[in-house]
Amino acid sequence: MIRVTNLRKQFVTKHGALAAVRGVAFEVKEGEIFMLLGPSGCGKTTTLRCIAGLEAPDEGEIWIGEQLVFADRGQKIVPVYKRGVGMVFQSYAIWPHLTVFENVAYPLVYGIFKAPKSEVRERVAKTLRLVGMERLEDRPAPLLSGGQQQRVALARALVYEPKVLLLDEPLSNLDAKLRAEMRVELRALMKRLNITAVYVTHDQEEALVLSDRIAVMHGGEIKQIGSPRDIYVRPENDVVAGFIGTANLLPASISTVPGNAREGLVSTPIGALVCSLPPSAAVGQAVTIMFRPEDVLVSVSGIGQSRNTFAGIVEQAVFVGSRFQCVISVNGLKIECELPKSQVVESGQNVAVEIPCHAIHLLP
Amino acid sequence: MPSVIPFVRRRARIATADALPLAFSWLVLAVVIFLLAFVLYMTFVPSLPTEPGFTLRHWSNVASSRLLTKVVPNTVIVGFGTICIAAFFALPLAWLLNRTTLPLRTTFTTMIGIVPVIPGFILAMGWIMLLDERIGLINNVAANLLGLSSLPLGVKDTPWGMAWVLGLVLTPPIFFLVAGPLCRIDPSLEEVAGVIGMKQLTTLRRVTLPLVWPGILGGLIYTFMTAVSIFEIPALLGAASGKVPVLASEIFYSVRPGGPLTATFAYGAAGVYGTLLAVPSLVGLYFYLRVLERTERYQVITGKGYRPRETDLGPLNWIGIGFVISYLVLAVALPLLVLLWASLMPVLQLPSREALSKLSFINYDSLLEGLGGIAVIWNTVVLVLCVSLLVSFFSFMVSWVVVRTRIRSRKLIDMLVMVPHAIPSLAFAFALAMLGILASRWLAWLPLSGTIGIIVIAHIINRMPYGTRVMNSALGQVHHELEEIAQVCGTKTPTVMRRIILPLVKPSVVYLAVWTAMLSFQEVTMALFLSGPQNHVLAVSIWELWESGSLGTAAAGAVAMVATMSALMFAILSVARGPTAGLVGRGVAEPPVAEEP
Amino acid sequence: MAGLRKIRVSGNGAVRWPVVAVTGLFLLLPAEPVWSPGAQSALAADAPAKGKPLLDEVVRKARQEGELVATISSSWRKTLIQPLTDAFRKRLGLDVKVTLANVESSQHFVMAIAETQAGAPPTYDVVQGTDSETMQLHGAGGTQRVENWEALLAEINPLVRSGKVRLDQIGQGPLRGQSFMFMANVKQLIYNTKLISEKDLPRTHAQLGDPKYKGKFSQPPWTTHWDIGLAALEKPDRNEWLDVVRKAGKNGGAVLYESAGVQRVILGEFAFALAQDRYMRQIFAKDPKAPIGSRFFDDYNGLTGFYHSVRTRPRHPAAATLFALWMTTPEAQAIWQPSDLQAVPYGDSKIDREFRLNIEKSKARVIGWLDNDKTLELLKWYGTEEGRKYVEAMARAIRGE
Repeated sequence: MIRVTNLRKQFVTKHGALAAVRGVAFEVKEGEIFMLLGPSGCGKTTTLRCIAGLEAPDEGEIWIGEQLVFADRGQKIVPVYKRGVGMVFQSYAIWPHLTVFENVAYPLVYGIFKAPKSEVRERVAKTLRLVGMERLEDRPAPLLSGGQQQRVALARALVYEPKVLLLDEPLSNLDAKLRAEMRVELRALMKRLNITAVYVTHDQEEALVLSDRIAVMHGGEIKQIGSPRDIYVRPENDVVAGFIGTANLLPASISTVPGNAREGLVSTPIGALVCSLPPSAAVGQAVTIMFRPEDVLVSVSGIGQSRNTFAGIVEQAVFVGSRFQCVISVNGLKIECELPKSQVVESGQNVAVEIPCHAIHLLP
Repeated sequence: MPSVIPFVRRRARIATADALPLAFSWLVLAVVIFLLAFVLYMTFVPSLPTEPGFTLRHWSNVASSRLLTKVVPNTVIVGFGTICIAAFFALPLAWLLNRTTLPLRTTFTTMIGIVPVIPGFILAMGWIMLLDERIGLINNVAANLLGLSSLPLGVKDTPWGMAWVLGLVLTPPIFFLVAGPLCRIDPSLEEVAGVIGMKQLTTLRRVTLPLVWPGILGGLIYTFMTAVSIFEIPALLGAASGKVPVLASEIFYSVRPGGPLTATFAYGAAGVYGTLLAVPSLVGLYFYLRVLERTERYQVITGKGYRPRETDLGPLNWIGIGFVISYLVLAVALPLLVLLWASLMPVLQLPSREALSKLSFINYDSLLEGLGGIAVIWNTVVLVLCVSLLVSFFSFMVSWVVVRTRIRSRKLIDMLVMVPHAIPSLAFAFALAMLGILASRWLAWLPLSGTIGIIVIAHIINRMPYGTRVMNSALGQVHHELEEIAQVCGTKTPTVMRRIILPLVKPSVVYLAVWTAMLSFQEVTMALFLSGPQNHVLAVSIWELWESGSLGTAAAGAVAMVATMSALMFAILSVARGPTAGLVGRGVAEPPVAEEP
Repeated sequence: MAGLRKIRVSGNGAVRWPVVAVTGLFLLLPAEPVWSPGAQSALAADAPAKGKPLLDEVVRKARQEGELVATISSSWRKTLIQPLTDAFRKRLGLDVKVTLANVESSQHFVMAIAETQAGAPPTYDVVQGTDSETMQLHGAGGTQRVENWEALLAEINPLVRSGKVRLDQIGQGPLRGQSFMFMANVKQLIYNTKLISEKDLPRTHAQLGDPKYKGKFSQPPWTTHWDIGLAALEKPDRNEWLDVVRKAGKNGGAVLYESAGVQRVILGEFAFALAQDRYMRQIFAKDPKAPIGSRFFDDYNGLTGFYHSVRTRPRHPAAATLFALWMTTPEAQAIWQPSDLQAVPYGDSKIDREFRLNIEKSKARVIGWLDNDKTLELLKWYGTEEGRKYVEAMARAIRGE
């Protein structure tokens, strides 16, 4: 439904050229919610604005549906208003001089999505119902709460039934509780309408909950594309691993590669670890090992015979309701881990830390 | 291929969204550039551009030690003094009348709007009557009370006196330039400051002021340029005597040596002085544009609801009201009283028992015919309406290009449109008159010479600098996403302008139109110069009366003029609902109580 | 615009004019060589006989032209426009559109010269301006000679016909037959009787530099009060004269337009002002008890004459000719003089008689640009590069530089 190839865009500032997007390429299938995830300044919003047509890229191609909307160096450029996409901005961009109804009706009254007058009221009402705003039609926009504005912005983007919906951090201005509710609601809505969406966010939790696929961006490049589970469980590099969830990252080098078994040995600052190795692994190769805090097993009963177990001291233990978040010092290195709330630990306590073999990932 | 990139981007942008505003911008700029080139050309012509010849005389005449030791320092003092005084009044006034719960705010605001209608010569006369060291009423009263023989208080023959009067006159432009942005600041920005725990004064200083800073700075630069180019007030207060020469008076007299040579004016000299005025103005403008570069920071109308928060001053209300009233007394009441007094005296005299016995309405006899009757009124209406509509339109277009596009020439456009403000209107009028004559020879079908059209053009060019300041400030505050989402919703730039941006900046546009109309109504120099058999306007009639010695009748005319304008203003504003406040900033109809969750 | 509302007068003229036209054409041809400037003394008597058909012919042409656009002084009330228009049309039986516009001559003459130089059609068919302005326009080829002006003037103006007024009182020097004087004023001192007595006033222009007048007077920024002085001096020394001007400039209290200066004399801010006589009359007309008086200088007093000239290549030459000539008549004067209060030097009204009497009584020396060869020579010199610089220096000297 959307195809972006080799997208490049640089901004000229008084400090020189700044490459915001450097060769981004991805494809979004129909009905898919595709997430551009990354820290601020990673180029995700620029990419989204390029798709919308609000920025003209320097290079690359953009297809929306069957239509080529941008081709290399401006050889072809379809103006914003002809691209037929829906969009929701972070600021919602609700026009403050119009009422809720007028805001939502705007695309149907003017421009290329113009609908017959008789249909407008019906379609607006339908869309407002969809987002749960049916009773506030006549309210002036400035009198809406943040959540309501967000719904109006969404209704306005949906009312002309666009092929593609672009969302630029639509939930970031809401408070935490509302945000969590809206995530689920938004995903359900988009799935119900079978809409193709590109969604920009810096919030990894939002990305994991909402999306079908995630592209993690960093420094103007896509670092990894995959399903939320792939990205979380099998990050391809330390940038992705570090950005999604919490990760313990340790420098390591491969010390033993067994003949035909897939499990080998790596040496790390906390000691030797057994883990599965890719076929290409060679002795002496420098790697990074990664494991998630929730995969770490902690026991107070002393070191047993199990593999990958080390002695450690609890440095910090914070109760966050559903679990404990601990920092445990192993050989002077701090390891983050999570414990079920039933397992009470205190700082200063001696514990045994086990890093299960299956939880360890090797990153190049 | 990085070298191609800017070109590609520019072409792409023009092709899509900006062609329309850009075309209109260049249309008006073409006229500006053409006239500027002509003014510059005239600085090298010995006498009239119709006579061949080349001379550097105008330039060499200007270079004198007197210029550096007297004229420039005086002009600088007058310029900076004026902006200090104007800012001293305008900034607190803008805040008091827009962001507090002071009573009678709309009435006060309208009264401030009346200031520009009062002719400058009346104001200067008024201040002489009040503060002259020999006859000044205030000085005499104070001297009697304090038992002094004379008081050093005076507005005559000192640049500070000029700055004082000019500052009072030029307070409204800053007031209105700042009022718009002040009303439209996203209150959440201020509320955040409140939450952090800043006191109100600190909020004002740290949050509110920086947010309206581009508006203020634009206003100050504009005021500076205006202050140094106004002629009549400094002239009456001593510049004409050569005691406190300023650039504006130098221009005037170098242009009109008078005597047997009246018909061979050295208009070229006006161009030279214009260039001298333009240079510091452009430097100021450069800094202004530097601030504007960070305009993103100042986009205070976002899509997240906004509603100005109004501070209740509580017991301090009285100080606020006192401040507003003292300004109005100084800038409106006193000159209006002088005006009224002058109109009721057969021959202007200082108030005394004898003078009171001479009060009469003789000056109001057949006033309308004296001013030129219906024809002149009609001309005036046509002029004022055309200028105010066209200035608003073109300012909107130019500011759109400057503020809302990334066209690379936008800074150049912003500079160019500002230049006419530095060129003395006399030089512009002369250039235009000359072009009119040449046009009547070669392009006889063009209705220029002697028509109301030529005055309209002159006024438009003259008012564009202010118009674009207002619009830049207004458009700069509309968050770009409000425009972008409208484009995403399938509408083209013209629709976006008409349905989204224009309504959002409507208060500024209405204000600009009214303000332009009033200044156009009052303008004399150009209208006089370009007047022909059919295009006399009211201001010219009044000026002619004054100049030919009929001060009383002129004052009566001015009283009628001020009264009409005030009545019109009150009428327009009450029809346009949300009285004056709606005019200057309250775009969104104020809801009674916001239902904030 | 004013012309649009003009009432149509004299419908019967339309019946008569074709007849007149034919006779007029025949009379015109042999008559022309007879009129030469030399034969003016005999003219006054001859005129009635030959003037009539000539005038009728011009009137016929004016009717054909159908319109007239002319300037009147910017100081004249706009209320004068209608009566002047009506009287002019009635007197000459013209059913044409007449547009009279208040125009400041000093500004318009620049444009007029530019029009001439550019070859553009003049905005106005006939313009009024001061003697020196008119001389400049004349020099630039911007004015057009009126053929048979002596006979036409005698036919139109009863004062000329009766011999009361000589032709050279209306058309003088180089402007003879080109431009026609219709009013004049004399520069003098106007003072506040409460602040200074008549005997304390300066007697000569040079005395304006006296320290006792420091800050007490105002003079206009234009050089009119001084430039003609060079022609009045016995032994004119330009540098010395410039020093006199400079001293007076430094001594003065303000440089203001004459009208503004007089206003501030009445206010009591200044003791006296250099200004023209008209402002005096204006003030007395409004307030007979105003504390104000006037006095001539003993050395010289500049006279400014105002002339009407027909522009070169005008759109309506015949109507323009008629208007320029008619404006010299007592009939026209009776309309504008009561409100404008400027004198007509050859006129017969109360103002005119007092004007002449004042000058006679005080034995004041009044001097105008067109008086004699010396003044004309000086005016010509001011037009040269050297003279231009001198005037500029004088203007600066007035402002105390």
